[in-house]
Amino acid sequence: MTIHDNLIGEDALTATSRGFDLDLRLPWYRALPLSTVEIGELRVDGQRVDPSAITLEVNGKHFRPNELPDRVDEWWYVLDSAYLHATAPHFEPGSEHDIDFILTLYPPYIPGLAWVTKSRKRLLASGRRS
Amino acid sequence: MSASPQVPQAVDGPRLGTTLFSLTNEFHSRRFTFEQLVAKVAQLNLGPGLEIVGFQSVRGFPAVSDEFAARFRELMAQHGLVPTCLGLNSDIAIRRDRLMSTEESVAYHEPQILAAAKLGFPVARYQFTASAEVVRRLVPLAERVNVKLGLEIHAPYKVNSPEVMAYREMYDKVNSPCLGFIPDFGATARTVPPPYLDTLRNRGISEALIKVALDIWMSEDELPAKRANFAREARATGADPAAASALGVIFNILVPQDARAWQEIMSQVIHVHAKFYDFNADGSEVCIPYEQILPVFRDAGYSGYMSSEWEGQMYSDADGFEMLRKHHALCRRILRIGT
Repeated sequence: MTIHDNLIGEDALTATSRGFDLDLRLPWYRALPLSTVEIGELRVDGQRVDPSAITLEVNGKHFRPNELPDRVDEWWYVLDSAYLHATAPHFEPGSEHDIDFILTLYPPYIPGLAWVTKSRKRLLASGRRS
Repeated sequence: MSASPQVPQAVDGPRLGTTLFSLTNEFHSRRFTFEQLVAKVAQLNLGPGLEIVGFQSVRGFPAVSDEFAARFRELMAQHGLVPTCLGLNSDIAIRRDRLMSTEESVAYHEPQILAAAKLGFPVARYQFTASAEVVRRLVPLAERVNVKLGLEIHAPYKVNSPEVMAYREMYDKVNSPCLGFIPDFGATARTVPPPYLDTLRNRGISEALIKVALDIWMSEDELPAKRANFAREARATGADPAAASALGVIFNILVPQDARAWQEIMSQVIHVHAKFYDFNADGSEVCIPYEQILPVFRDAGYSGYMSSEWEGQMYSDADGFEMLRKHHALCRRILRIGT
């Protein structure tokens, strides 16, 4: 696996009491500030998840997708997972789902470059994270 | 673990080393910790030079704790490695709505230069996004802490590109021993890595668009024209935007240029990025003509460090240590360094 294939790992999906979580890895070689990270379209079994149902957890803090551009001082370190929390849809541990997700990075030393990573995976949902 | 014996240099010429950037996949996948990477680089004799990217290897960079700095120096001594260059990042587009001002960019670089000094790196790499004026203003700090600032001359720019000339002219005026250049061999390439194009074929990029991209890559156009031409063609073919953006990266990573171009700035070279992607069956590199480039540096009397920089990790999950080993073997053969 290269870092660009690693956005969503095989065991990334967790069913929760509110909906589901996805364990995300940064598809870039170095830490980036959240201002350069853009949450793109997320589909579960073909159904688009509304951005208002999503938060991103980085360094133990939660951000809505539209809050990211202002977070120039919050860094996503390369070894850390970020957790995408979705409040819908709800599904059971042990069920399988098609997850389609797009994450776009704007590497801040390459003005004008949009680095688009698309992940399409069928994943088995594990049990609830506390 | 005891220090591994490093091979003495048989003749004057570039000294070998490694940048941990080459081992991005090993690190990012959490298979190797930072300390394990350092240990294995030494064990496989891929030093003695060691380079890191601050924002990759150091959590919280540009802040460097006293504990990390002490441990880093201890590791270098323990493994017989020499810190050569710290990769800084000139992140002027950290805000999405505007670029940093000159003052902001200066302030952004200052703690990174202090980090280089704290970790014992004699050279700090900066990027084109740090303007010549920003770097000029950083000179007093660099001189005070004795860290040389090196512009990485990286594709798409060439030795004589207007973007490089701006720094060359500033260097001539300022005349500081703390200013220099870091050639990246991707700026003297002969082609684009075939395995990278294969990964894009697998993502559904058409042969027609790949051919167009390669024609644009070979052209004498500067980057904006190359990008504009490519974007127009990609839209016309209805290519998937993600795959097209990945293909467009070739314009930023490699550019065709004669190896002798480096001669002109050789007296100002303070470090080298020996970029590589893959090898032919005879051990030569597929994109970068090392047989032409290395003698240019040796014959000009360059005897500083050269970090083996494997960028193939962006499309290949091959063992980075093995790629580095092959690269060192190639460089040793050309430079006639004993093993």
